[in-house]
Amino acid sequence: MAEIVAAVACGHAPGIATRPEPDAAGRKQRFFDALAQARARLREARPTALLVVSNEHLQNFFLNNWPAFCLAYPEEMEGPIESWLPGPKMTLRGYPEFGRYLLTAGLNAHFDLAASQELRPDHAVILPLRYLRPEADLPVTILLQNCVEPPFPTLQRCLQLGRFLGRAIAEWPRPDRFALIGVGGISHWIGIKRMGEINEAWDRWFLDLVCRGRSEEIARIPPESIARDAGNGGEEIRNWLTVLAAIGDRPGELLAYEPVPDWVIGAAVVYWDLNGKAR
Amino acid sequence: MLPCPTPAGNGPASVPTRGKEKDKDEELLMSAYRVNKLLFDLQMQPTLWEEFTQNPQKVADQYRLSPEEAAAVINVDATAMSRLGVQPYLLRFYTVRRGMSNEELIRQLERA
Repeated sequence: MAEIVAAVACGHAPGIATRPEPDAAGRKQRFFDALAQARARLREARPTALLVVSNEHLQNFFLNNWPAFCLAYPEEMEGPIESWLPGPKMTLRGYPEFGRYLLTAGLNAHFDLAASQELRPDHAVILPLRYLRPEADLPVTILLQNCVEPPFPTLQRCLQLGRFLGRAIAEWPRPDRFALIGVGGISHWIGIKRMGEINEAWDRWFLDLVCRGRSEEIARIPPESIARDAGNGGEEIRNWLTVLAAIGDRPGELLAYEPVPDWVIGAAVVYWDLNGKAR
Repeated sequence: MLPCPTPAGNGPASVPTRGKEKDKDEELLMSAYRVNKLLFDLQMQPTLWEEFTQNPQKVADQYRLSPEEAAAVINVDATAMSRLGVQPYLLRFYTVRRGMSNEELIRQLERA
């Protein structure tokens, strides 16, 4: 039987690659330091497989066929898909057997996930992995949740999906040690009026809920308040919520929170040490 | 969603059983769909990007963009694109590829 041995949640802004140069306040460096710390701890946790909870940004999928939830489990994936994103390409090994298992388990548990056996991961997946697991030595499965094109799946549904993931991983018959990685957020406004704003107070309030494992409270955040208080980019908190629910609401450790104007996001890193404690 | 200005036509035919306001909304939505489709295809198809660089108006016509939409995209007018209902992430990535800085994009979106 498999277990979840660690989890990380972190920001994934393209600016991490396009504008990595140091800022006067040292904010970017503290974020990078936190990722380095998460990488070291992740290594110590000895995971054998990764499940990344992310969202598509209209680069693989378009509005002609736009899933609320999609499980991607190709044999191999190369990213980032963005031609304009600096840095090396990464080739990720997929985990088709686990993907097929998860898809079937989902259908049996009334989660009718879309499925993709071909994907070119975008910045949202590749940038965190560049820092958290640059070796690209573990099989990766990707769950994509719609956080960019309304209407969105409800927070309650993400919570339920996370709970399901936790159960399904526990029942996966191989002795895998999973690490879950939730990416995105926190507050940011992208491609709309108010772009450049970061709501630090809201971010800190949300991080407090995350680190205390309060997934039920997060799931009760009024849906219309997210875009207002955390921007359209704030909708990506769904990825954090799903991970938190999957790991059984364990308390996490805030390694960094930095509002980074150059990246137009509130950039955070949270780490969960879960060896044998995930459910 | 941001308020959208009146489109310049070129949208799909109206549904006669509905009110004029609703027709307009649907026309705008469908119209924005075509702009969004163009921006998505430009991301995904290097040959289309090349063609667009050579002859943007021809590509805009192929996608049946209105004159306002075509002008907004060709001139990288983020204010106009946003007002026309372009998907925010497609808008952002397109402006990045066209060399617009975050700071300039923010300035233009403030006027949206």
